[in-house]
Amino acid sequence: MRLMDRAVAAVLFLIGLCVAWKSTELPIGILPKEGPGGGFLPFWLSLGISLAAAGVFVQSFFGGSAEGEGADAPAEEPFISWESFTDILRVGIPGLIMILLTSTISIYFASAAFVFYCLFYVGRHGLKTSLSVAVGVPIGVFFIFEKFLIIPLPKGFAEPLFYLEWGSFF
Amino acid sequence: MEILGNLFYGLGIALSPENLLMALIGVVLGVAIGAMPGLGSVNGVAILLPITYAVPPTSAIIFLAAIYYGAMYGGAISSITLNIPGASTAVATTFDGYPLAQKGQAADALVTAAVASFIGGTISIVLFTFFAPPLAEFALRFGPPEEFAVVFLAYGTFAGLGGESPIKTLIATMMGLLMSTVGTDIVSGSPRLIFADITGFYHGINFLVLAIGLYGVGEIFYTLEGGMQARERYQAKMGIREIAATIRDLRRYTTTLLRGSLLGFFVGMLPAAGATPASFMSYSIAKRFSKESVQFGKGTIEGVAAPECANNAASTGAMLPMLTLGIPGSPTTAVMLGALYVWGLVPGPRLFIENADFVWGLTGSLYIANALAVLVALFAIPFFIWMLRMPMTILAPVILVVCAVGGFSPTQDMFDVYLMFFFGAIGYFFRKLDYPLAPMVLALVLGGLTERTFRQSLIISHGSIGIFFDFSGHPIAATLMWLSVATFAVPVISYFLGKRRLKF
Repeated sequence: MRLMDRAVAAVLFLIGLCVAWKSTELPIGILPKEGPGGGFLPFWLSLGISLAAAGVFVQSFFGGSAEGEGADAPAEEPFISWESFTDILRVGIPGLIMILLTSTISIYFASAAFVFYCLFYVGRHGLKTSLSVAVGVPIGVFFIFEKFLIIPLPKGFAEPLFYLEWGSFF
Repeated sequence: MEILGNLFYGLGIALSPENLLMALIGVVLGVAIGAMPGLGSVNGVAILLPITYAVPPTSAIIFLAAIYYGAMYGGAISSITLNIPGASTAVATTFDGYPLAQKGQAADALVTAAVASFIGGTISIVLFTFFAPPLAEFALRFGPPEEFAVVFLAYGTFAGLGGESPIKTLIATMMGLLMSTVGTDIVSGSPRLIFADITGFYHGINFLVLAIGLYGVGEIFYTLEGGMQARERYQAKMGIREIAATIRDLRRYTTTLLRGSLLGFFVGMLPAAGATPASFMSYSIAKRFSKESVQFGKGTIEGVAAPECANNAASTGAMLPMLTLGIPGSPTTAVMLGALYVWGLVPGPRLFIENADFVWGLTGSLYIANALAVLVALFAIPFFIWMLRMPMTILAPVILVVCAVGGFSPTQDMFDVYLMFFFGAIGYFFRKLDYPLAPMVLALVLGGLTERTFRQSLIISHGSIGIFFDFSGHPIAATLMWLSVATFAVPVISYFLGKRRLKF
């Protein structure tokens, strides 16, 4: 847990420095007529984040970390157990793949495949349940977002399928 | 009397068929989301916000407020039947709700929760109706320094009440503010912080992308960690006779209910405090003053009534500063505040003048949603208990799809969906490591206002920070600034003194 706390603090520290450097593209000082320049807030905020992250890092070496463990705290609990981690990855990675595929194969095919995979292979639900949810979700999304809200969703190569006025069949 | 006239006008708006339908759908969805372990009002409002684009703002806010209300009722259902709080606002309800369920009194506990919620909500709405207009009128006199001071106070109270570690709250707040500066510089109009020349950064980081990422995707990851199996649960039988008997029984706890409701309203009004601390405070005060205080924790009706009336009262209280001052009283209202900007409304005192039908329509709908919620909660309990059987392996993928579509909708840019997924990962790590999430969303929502008022004030003062602390020129701003410095300092000082902070 503490190791992860330090790692995240270190990453935040570096991000802070990078963004501070990036924000010098605009004036970071207080200009005579216009007040603070465009880079003023981002610059000081990112430096502040770096400073505070350094504080979290240093603090983690002294007993009173955020979890309230003292120096005499019992054995260090791990950030996450291996089983829980795989539980997250088994849904998280297909989720990421779904998002990455959305612009090529449309949100409809991507979400149907993703939902089916999660239900059938991860959740070990029956074929009937898995198929009906996997088909139901994209249809629901289509009617709520595309038809009712009129928000065009990414369709990729499936675009021609939507030239038909599906809504008029119902 | 003018207020009563406005109220009837608002009730008229809220009772129009389409708004009534929005309220009903919102309440049902809210109760369902609130009942799901891990998902609370803030997740519901964040995930379902994109759905509101197609309807006028008044109907949209009625929908969101109904979700907010419904979730407060729904949270109690899983607290009582599963001992898993449906949301943090219902944690205090588990203390006595679950022991009651174990004793076979789940139905009593559920009815008590619903009725106490109704009482808390009603008292709070009446107070809201009479408090909001004068506060808005007062806030009309605010200029940039005062506005900045109010926003600063919101950050200060979030630091004071946010998480365990003040320094992590500070990091979360600054990250949110930093994200709000991505896009275009508001004064010079030049592009700012466009990383790696990705065009997606030009339109800035949409608060909805962050909110859905943190509260939708991140929360799913966090819940998946707890395992994907459905848990065992208690059956609750509900009938008119049981309901009536429990309500008769509740009269014994009138003082507890009144005290909890008033407390909830005023705690909810404080920026950042929200319904969770209100429910804990109400529970502990009820325990201290109760004649049967030894029974607390072992399953007493009073221990369910106290936190439930307070959390509903607080959810209404939290909307008051959001509408009148433009600063949210809870994480959920922070998301709703962002929604107001999306709809093109500017929250704050002018809302009461320029968008009167919006404000009064919302007020009227609070009365309606509250009544609808108690009915839905009472009669749909068996259904929700059935729904709780739905395992995470079905819920998680469906919610992830809704999040992806929701992240795409506001800007119709796939880059935002990638960003949302990335925020989901951040949200997971931050939650595990006790970084509070709400200050980040709040800071991103208020970031534009913060920067504008800050820079306007410094233009007025020719670059001197002193304008915010000048008692002769800007007394309100100076008072608020010192107040925020104090709220900011309290947790830091007590942290370094090694004392345990007041824990709600």
